[in-house]
Amino acid sequence: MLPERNPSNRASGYIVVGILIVVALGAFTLPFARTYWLKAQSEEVSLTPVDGVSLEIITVLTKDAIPAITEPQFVAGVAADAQMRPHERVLGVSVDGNHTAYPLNMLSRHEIVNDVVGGVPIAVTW
Amino acid sequence: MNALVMYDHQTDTLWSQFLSRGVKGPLSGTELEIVPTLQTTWGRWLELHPDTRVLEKRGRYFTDRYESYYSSNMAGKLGESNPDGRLSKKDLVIGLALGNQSKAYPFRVISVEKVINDYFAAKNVVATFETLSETGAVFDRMVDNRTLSFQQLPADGSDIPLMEDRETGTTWNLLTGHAISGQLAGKTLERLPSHYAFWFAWSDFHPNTEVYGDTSAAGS
Repeated sequence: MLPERNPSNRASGYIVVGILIVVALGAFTLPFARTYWLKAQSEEVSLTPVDGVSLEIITVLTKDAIPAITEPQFVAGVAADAQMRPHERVLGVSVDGNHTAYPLNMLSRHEIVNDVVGGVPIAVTW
Repeated sequence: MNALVMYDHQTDTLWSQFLSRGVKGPLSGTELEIVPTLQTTWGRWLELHPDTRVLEKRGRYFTDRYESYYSSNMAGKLGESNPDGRLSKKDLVIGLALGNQSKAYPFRVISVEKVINDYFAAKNVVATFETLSETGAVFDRMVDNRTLSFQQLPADGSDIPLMEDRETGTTWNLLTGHAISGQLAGKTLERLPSHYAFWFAWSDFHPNTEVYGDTSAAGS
């Protein structure tokens, strides 16, 4: 005689599979739901028609969530071996023979550096 | 397409990075002047400008938090499609914007041609590229009321990428536009506002952009 299966074990198996399906569906649809939600929150901004570009502002992060650099500190290029690697990428700015490099990995972290190069106030943005 | 919007502490105006213009608030509509930049490797930049200063890192950040994004197929942090199929979305271009006109020089073309004498937006321009450091720039090639035409020179061993103009034979640094030797030594070509961009972003903000080497459209 075959042993009889316990019906409660089978039911809990269905529940586990059900939960797994819900979790998988949730993980799959979450990015779409996030994009949809962010776009629903966006504000339309009108531009002059000549641009042919429509713009909407989507607030993904609040103000200052990414800390801009307002008081940048510098080191001389020839003395920067300790912090720089030859192949890392930089954004270089030259104004009237004054040269400054902004490492991309710093820009990725801060997005904006407020600086003055050759007497010209600039915002380096990434 | 999505790109940074920033605010200023003084007026709280919102500014679009890609349009370089105020888009909301008291200074809405005001244009920011673009200062040309050169995106290159640290090693190359230091060779070009040994007297440069560099932003201090305070001992951190050898890695870039967007490293995987650069190499992925994802377009924009919210995920976007490619609005203009002339190039693949993550193809890199050197984008040039003059007034309301814009032109993209795809890496896969400019990395082969290296020095491109072009005429665009009523200007004679030269687009240049150095493959090793993947660095590109665009210059006005009018010097003292004379239009010059350039060709790449083989490396002279000093590791500085060079070009010469056919009219005077002057030797120029092709990334800084500085004349090193010859009749025009000491002159510098005017840099034009060009920058390094992914195609999906460039084409979204410049929907009417020309593409250098694109034979499917007129005017390229």
